[in-house]
Amino acid sequence: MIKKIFFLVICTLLLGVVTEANAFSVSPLKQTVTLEQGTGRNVKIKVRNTERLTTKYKISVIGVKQDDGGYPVYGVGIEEAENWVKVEQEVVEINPGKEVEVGFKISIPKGTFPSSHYIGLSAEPVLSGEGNKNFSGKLISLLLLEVSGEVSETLSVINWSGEKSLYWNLDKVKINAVLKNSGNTELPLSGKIRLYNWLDKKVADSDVYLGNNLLPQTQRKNEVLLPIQNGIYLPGVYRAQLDLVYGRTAQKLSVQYSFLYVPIVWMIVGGIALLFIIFVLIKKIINKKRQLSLRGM
Amino acid sequence: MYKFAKLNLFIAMLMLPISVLAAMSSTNYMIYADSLETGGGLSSGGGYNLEDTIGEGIISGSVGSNYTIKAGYQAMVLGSLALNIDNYTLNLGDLSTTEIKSASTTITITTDSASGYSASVQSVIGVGLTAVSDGSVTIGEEEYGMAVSGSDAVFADDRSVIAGRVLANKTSPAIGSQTEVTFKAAISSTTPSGDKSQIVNIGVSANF
Repeated sequence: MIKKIFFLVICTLLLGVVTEANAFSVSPLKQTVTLEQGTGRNVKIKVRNTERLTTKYKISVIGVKQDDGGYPVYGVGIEEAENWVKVEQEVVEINPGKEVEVGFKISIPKGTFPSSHYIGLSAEPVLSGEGNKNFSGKLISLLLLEVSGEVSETLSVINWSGEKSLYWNLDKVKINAVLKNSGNTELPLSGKIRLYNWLDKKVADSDVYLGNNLLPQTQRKNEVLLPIQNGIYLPGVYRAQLDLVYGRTAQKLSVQYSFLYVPIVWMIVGGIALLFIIFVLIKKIINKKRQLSLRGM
Repeated sequence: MYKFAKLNLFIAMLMLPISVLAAMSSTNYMIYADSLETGGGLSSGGGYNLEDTIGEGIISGSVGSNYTIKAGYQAMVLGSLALNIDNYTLNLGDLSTTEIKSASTTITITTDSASGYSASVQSVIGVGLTAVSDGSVTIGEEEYGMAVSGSDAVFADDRSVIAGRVLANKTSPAIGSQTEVTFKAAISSTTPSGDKSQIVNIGVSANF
C-alpha cells in the first residue's frame, strides 16, 4: 500500500514537472535556397508543440547577422532580405504533441544584385496572460538566401599584430587577427600560422581555428597564439605569418607581423658584457691618465 | 688593444640579428625598406601585397575573386532545435540601496545540430536603470544588468541588457543544455523613485 502511494506521489510530481514545462521545437535547422532576381519560391518549417496544452505560436521573419565572435545575432530591420520573405500564416495553433508545417513565400525583387543573405524563420509561443510576461524566447530556423549571379569573395585583414614589438618571452604571445568579409557572399575560413626567424627559416607552425563561415560585410576578431614548441629560440627579429585560405574558390591571403625577441637571459648576458666593457674602458682611461701624469712628472 | 678589438667583435655578434633586418629575402618572400624603429615598406609574395612593419603588423590587406552562383539550388540541414523557458515572469521587486535584487530564469536547449547552437537577446523593449559597465552590479550604485551561468554560458560577469548580447553557445549537439539567466539591479540614494519595466526576447538558432 505504501509502495502504491509512493508511486502515485512520484507520478504526480513528474506530471507536475511536465505541466510546468513550456517546450517546443522547430526543424529544419537550416535551409539554403538559390534564386534568380525577380523569381520566388516557397519554403516550410515544422513547429512541434511538446507541451501538454494546445498552444498558439507566432510565426515571423527576422534578420540574422553575425557578431565579431562569429555568433548569430537576430533582429528586425537589420537585413534587407527580411522584406523578401513573407509568412503565410502569422499565428498557428498546435495541439499537444503535434507538429504543424508553416509556409513562407520568398520573392526576390527584380534588379537585386547577386549576394547571400541570412534570414530567420522563427516560431514563438503566444503566452497566456501575456501582459505579465516579460521574458520570452523564439526558435529560429536559418534560411540562407542566395541571389544568383557573379559574386565576389573578398577577404580583408584589418589587423594582424601583437600587443608589443619587443618580447622577453615567447610563451602565450597572442596576436590579434581582425578579418573582414568585404565581398557579398559568405566565406569559409581556415588558416595556418608560421613563425620565421631572422634567417627567414620557419621555426614553428600550427593550424589556426578562425571560426565558422564569415558572413558578407562582417568582421571577425580572433586571438591567435604564437605556435611555440619546445626548443631554443635565438634572439632577433621574428615574423609571424598568417596564411589564410578562404571562400569556395579557396583563395589565399598571407599577412605577417614582425617583432623583436630578446630572452631575459640574453639581456642579462648583454648587460654584464656592457658593464664589463665600460669597466675596461674606464680602467684604460685611468691607466692612460696615470701614464700621462707619470710622463709629465 | 687586441682585447679591445675582441670585445668589439663580441658586441657586433650580439647585434647581428638586428643588423640583418634590412636584407631579409627568400624565394617566395621579400621585404625591403624595413627598419626596427619606424618599420614600413612593401612586402610581396605569390598571391598578396601588403604593408609590413615591425611591431605593428599589417594595417590592411585584401584579395578577392569572383564566381557565379547558379539559381535552382536548394539544400536543407535536417535536425531540430527545442527550447524550454522555465519562467516567463521575472520581477525584481522593490529595489534597495543596501542589496542587489535579482530574478532568474533557466533556458533549456536541445538540438542535434552538428554545429551546435547560439542563444542571444533578440530585442529589449522598455527602459531599465543605468546599464552596468564595470562587470559587476554593485550595492549602493545604480546599476542594472544580466549574468549567465551554465556550461554553455558565454560570459561570467554582469553585462548590460542589450539586443545582440550572446548568452549561450555550444559548438556541438546539445541535450538539455541549461543556462540560467539572472537579471540584477541595484540603486543608489540618488536614484529617482518610480517603476521600470522591460520585455526581453531571446532567439535561439543553430550556428551557421
